[in-house]
Amino acid sequence: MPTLARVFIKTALLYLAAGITLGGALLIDKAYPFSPALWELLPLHFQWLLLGWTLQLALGMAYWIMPRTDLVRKRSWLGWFSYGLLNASLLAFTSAELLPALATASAPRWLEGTAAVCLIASPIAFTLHIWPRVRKLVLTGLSPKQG
Amino acid sequence: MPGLGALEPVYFHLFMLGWVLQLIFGVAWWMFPILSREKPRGNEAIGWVVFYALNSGLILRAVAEPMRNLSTAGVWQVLLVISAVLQMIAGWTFVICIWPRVKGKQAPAQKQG
Repeated sequence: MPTLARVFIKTALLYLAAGITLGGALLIDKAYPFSPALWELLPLHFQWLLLGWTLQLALGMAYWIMPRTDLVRKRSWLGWFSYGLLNASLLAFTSAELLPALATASAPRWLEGTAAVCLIASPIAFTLHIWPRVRKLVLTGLSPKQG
Repeated sequence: MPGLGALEPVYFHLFMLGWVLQLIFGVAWWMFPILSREKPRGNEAIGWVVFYALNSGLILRAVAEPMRNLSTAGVWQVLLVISAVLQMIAGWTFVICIWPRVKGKQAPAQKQG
């Protein structure tokens, strides 16, 4: 497994642990309410599990298993760029959601703007990297079957 | 049916955890790099803990969450908490047992003699 795939997948696992913990806390609060403010973090539960876990895992797996050209993952910097943008977006979104809950101050608009811009740019960078790798697998050294 | 809307979280979680998450867990358990020839997937019993915790947690939730809206009996709240704990145990246990398998290719062992 290449380094970037490992980084994507391990980060995804951390988001899974965080997202499922927050989800569990919300479910417990449903049974025995202990913190109404917790429900303001519901968007984080979605974001961590849909983008931080599911999307990030999918990107890591795709980077790992899609066909390579001459056994090389070309333009891998685009993959790293995509990773950085996705996690910058998640961190900005998390800060924007946590700030009002922790500091009773509204999050600055630029934080939400950064989260949105990075979230748009990340899949674009990944698509540019992976697009040429979505192709028929050619196994060199094997001759095609003769009819 | 007006009460059917109360089932929305159950529907969503049965789909996202029962189908999507469980499929990911199964495929990752199957195809992630093995740990060693002797114990390719590590401790298989831990994998079964994940499976049983996730499914029992989900089933409990599917019953207790709507019932909590329909009945005032405290048992549904207790079951809901148990389901939350089981789902969290499943997630954490999976992260712990799959973490060492997210690794690079090992160099092939050199032939002796």
